[in-house]
Amino acid sequence: MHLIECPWCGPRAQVEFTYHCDSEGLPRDWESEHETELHERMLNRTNAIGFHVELWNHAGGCGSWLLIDRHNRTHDIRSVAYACNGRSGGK
Amino acid sequence: MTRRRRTGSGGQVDRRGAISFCFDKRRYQGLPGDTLASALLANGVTVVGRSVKYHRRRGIFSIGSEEPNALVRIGNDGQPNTRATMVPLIDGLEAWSQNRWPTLGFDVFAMLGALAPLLSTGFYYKTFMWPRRAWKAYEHVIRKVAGLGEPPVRADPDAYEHAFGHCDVMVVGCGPAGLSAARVAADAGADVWLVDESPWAGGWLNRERATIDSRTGSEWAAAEIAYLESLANVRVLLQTTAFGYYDHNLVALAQLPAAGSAGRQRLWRVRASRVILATGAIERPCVFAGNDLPGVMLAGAARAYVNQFGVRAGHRAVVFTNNDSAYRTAMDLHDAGVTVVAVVDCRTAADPGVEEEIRQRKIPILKEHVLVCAAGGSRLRHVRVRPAAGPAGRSSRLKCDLLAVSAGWSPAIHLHAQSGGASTYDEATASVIPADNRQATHLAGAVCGRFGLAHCLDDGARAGAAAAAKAGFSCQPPRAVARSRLPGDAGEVAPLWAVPDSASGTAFVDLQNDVTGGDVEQACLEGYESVEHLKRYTTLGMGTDQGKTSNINGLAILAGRRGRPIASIGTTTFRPPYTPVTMGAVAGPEVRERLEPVRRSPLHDVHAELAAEFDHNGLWLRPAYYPAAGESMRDAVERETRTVRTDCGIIDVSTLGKFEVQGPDAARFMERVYVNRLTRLASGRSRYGLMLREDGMIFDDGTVTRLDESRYFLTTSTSHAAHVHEQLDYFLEICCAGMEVAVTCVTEYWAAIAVAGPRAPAVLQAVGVDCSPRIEQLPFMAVTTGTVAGIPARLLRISFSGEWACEIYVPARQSTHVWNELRRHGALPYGLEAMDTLRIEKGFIGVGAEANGRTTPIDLGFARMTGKTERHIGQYGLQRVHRNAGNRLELVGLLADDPGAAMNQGAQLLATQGQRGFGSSIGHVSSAAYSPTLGRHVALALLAGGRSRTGDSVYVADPLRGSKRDLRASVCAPCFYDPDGTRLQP
Amino acid sequence: MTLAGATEFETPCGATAVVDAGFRMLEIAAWGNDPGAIEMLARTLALPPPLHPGRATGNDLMQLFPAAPRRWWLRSDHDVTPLPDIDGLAVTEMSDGQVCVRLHGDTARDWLAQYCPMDLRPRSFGTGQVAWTLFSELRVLLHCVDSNAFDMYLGSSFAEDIIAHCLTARTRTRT
Repeated sequence: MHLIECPWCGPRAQVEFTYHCDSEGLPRDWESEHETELHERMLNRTNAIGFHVELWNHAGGCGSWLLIDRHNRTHDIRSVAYACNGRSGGK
Repeated sequence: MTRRRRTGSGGQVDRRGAISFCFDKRRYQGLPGDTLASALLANGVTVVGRSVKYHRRRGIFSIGSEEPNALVRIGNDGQPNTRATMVPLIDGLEAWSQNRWPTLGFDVFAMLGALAPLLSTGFYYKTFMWPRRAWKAYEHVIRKVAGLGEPPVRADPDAYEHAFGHCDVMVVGCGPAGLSAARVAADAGADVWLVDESPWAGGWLNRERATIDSRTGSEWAAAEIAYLESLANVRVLLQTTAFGYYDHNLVALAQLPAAGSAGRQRLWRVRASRVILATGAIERPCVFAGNDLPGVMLAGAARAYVNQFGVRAGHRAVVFTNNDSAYRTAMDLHDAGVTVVAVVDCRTAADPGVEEEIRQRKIPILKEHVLVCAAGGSRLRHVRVRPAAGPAGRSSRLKCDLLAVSAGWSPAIHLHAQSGGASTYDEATASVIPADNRQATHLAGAVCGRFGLAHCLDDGARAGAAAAAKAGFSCQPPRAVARSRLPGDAGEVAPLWAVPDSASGTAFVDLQNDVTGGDVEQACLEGYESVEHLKRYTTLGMGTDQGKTSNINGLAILAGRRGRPIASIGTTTFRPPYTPVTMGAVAGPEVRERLEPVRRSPLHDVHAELAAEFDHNGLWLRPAYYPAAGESMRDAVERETRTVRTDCGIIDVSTLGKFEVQGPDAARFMERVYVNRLTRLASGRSRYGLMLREDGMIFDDGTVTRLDESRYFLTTSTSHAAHVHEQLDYFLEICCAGMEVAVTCVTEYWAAIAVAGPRAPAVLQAVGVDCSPRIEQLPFMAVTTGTVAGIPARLLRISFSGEWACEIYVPARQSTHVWNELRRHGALPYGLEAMDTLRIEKGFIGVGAEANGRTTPIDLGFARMTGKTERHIGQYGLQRVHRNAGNRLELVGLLADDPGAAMNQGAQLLATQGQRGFGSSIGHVSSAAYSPTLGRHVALALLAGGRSRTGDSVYVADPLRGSKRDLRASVCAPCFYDPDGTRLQP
Repeated sequence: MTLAGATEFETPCGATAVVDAGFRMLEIAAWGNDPGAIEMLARTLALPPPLHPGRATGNDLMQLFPAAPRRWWLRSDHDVTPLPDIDGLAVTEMSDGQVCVRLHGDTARDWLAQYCPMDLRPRSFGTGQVAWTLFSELRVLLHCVDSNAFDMYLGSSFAEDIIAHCLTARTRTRT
């Protein structure tokens, strides 16, 4: 079970978090996104071994959306940051 | 039994006490401080079980959790495969041997031993394969002969609990290294947890005649543990096994309740900043003929039984070793009154100190000798020895009833390996020792392959200081290290895995799985050369002990056979748990009715008073129907349905997901979330809305109400509320960054009651609704606020029944009054079943039934809702799906030719009667009900190209539920009642 | 179960639990990124600064819990006068949806540790701190009131289940 350093709550157990998707699956700019871009990010992902930036939600905690840079085999976590445009940041 | 097994003094048992216990129905006496194993040995019980494959008699082999043989069942129909060496003796304990039938002394299957040459490795794989279908018959017999113990028949009577823990330093192992580490870290101020699987702190200090600072080892350990327990920042957990070392320094502990107490077994998940593994080492035996006989025991165990429990495991002992530590066994046994016949050492020289000790005791030392075989039946009778370099045939006989054997010590690297740490083969100790750590781990003592007592104490102090420092605590300069003495504890060995030319059908590598040296060689011959293959083919290292005493011998034999160095062979993967953990502890308290949390509506007590039958809907308990006295479910549902169609019904819909969306960009946000066009939704109006997923499939349905310019109120389906919340949140954060919107879940705040039926307006008037416009004039899909029976309420003119209806939202704690007032004025409650019938009659979709995650709005007949040009979730997906739509499943109604014939949800649709097989299904029934309004069965279905088949006949097949004949039904529009909706707004 | 006012009972671990449903609770969410809005609100309500993440601030009338980014809960045992309307803040009434379980006693912390995976040691979660966390599988707001007392806010619909299973369960081991 991972220990994830939530920027708001501090270190918390993985059970409090929900994995959402790999950052490859996130839109660059949702509003102006083209149909093919959507299908590419939804359906064509590399899933290589190594560090991946992933979108997680601290659903059992403060609710923040987080980008977690995590190795999908060793489970090492390099960084945890608020997800988008600082929306989740601030007090 | 003529001579006493128990020594007159010594050990840590209380000789003034007496404990009575039972083993296989016979009553015995033990002492406080005994384990079941030591008490059995003290009573001269040599045979404690039968082996798994050949049903050979087996005795107690070790003193710890590595025990391969002494597996017992505790209590009648109790937990099987409990290691007798780990059970503290309590008064009245009942234990039973395993793997024997009918009795331990006379076992029918023991003849299997004589068949050993036929039962070669891979026997089951090779023999029972043909004919394939006969396996079921073989299996029945094999299950009786093979296997470890029997599972209890009754439900587990024990209760379990879980707990979480956090500490700075977790010390696993309470021996000299662990105690020393814990003390240093604790004195630095760190929160320290110290755990040990044994009921007694001190580890091998209790089992050796060591001295530390002029005290005996066990006295020193007792003083240390007393000191540690007196500190507020230290938690000592005994009888607690650290069985798993997971990601990010999470250590799982299984804590047994104190022996004889009514406490519960507890499973801990402890997150430690640093972990110190002081898990020690496990002695290993040597492979030679007859090495499994009762009376053959690990040398360390033989002296430990004398030193800790005052129990002589035999009266005439032979010690066979390749290292110095077993010399202590000879010394300790001799000093406890056991006749030590000889020390057989395969080496040319031992440590001069221990050799001198043996000479002083006038015990012969047979250097450069090996043990050829052990012989006996239910107990060991003699062993044969010969010079190591001598010819194979010539050996001499030594009479004995105890053979203490040591082929060296294997560091218990299990947790280190589980944590991802590397390991390497060490020539000096002939063992696999830890290399690099992967997590925040420190290692101390014998687990590192450094065996001396002084080393362990030193190492522990160093690890304790390092761990505390890393956890952020500044350490005092280490205390003066204790001065200790334990002869012959250097740890070097001359590798001796198997005695050459002694390999036979009874030279066992793995005692628990009856795997012999010959089996390993044969597996290798057949090509199972990798350690993982060897394990799976021979079962070497499987079972409850996971090869703690056998793996390394097996590896070495494999390496020898392949002519490669042991270091290149590798080890099998070390996986949790270190020792078996009962499934009950893993499951914890959250079982049966606690499997999931149960949510109750604020009106729950009212429903219970009305004797509602409850059903689970998501996490919620909801009334399914309200049976009157003597009424069947079907009668109740029909009555409730008719009530809504002809009179006035009320239903508790508090369980709907409810959200408020506020902010200047709320309208823009709504436009993106829903497939329908919402910009023109005026304040005070509601709309039925569909949310899609990005792939175009329907995600949820519900209502959108615009409260004012920048404030919306949403309802979602009960079962999807949590998902919808997450989806809204995700969308707001990730796809609509920069929008000024806040989404707040208000499910818990609002209770909701739907009032439906032609008489509903009258009932509401009678109850007293104060709102503007007057309730009966409130247009369909309009919202207003006011009071109902004096309670502030939000009123929504919305209907899921097809009748005039209104949803009343009131603060949860005031809902009972409103409900009771409605009832008092003639409204009758209806439940989920009637609600579903009403929905199906009207052809309204259900989430999970028609909106099943694979249907789009167009499939379900909502094409007019789609097509807006603004970007919204699911837009591209929907376009893509319908660009190449083909023959998609579409929502239709079904009427069976026989109006009395029921169609079941899940039944398949066929084009011609009696078709079966892949590809014959052209759709399925998605919802079905008996419609009391129409007096017939009706169904909604998803049918390929369904809308163009209106008027066609299809066949409804339901073979899984035993229906023999396919029903003929005609396809119709998916609405069976009031298709024009005239009843919604009279 | 009817939770009128406060119900008090002893828990399996020996700590005392008081279940309270008679208070006001408002959820305040900022829809923008302007940190000034909540500070203005706090000033208007005379709540002592500073507003610090994870730390409750309060006066005799009310307590403000900053337990999530841009989201606060305001608890009051009295009827709070209508909140000043401050631009950028969405104020939502939550009172009827929440139950507060106050646990106090020497064993309160150990008892919580059976259900909450977060680090509850005083060093990490001391007096005055608030946090959203899991209790069993349920998301709750936890407030450390003093060294051995905790307030736990949970959705009313879960209250009966939690009380039946966790607060009034049979005797448990104590460590």
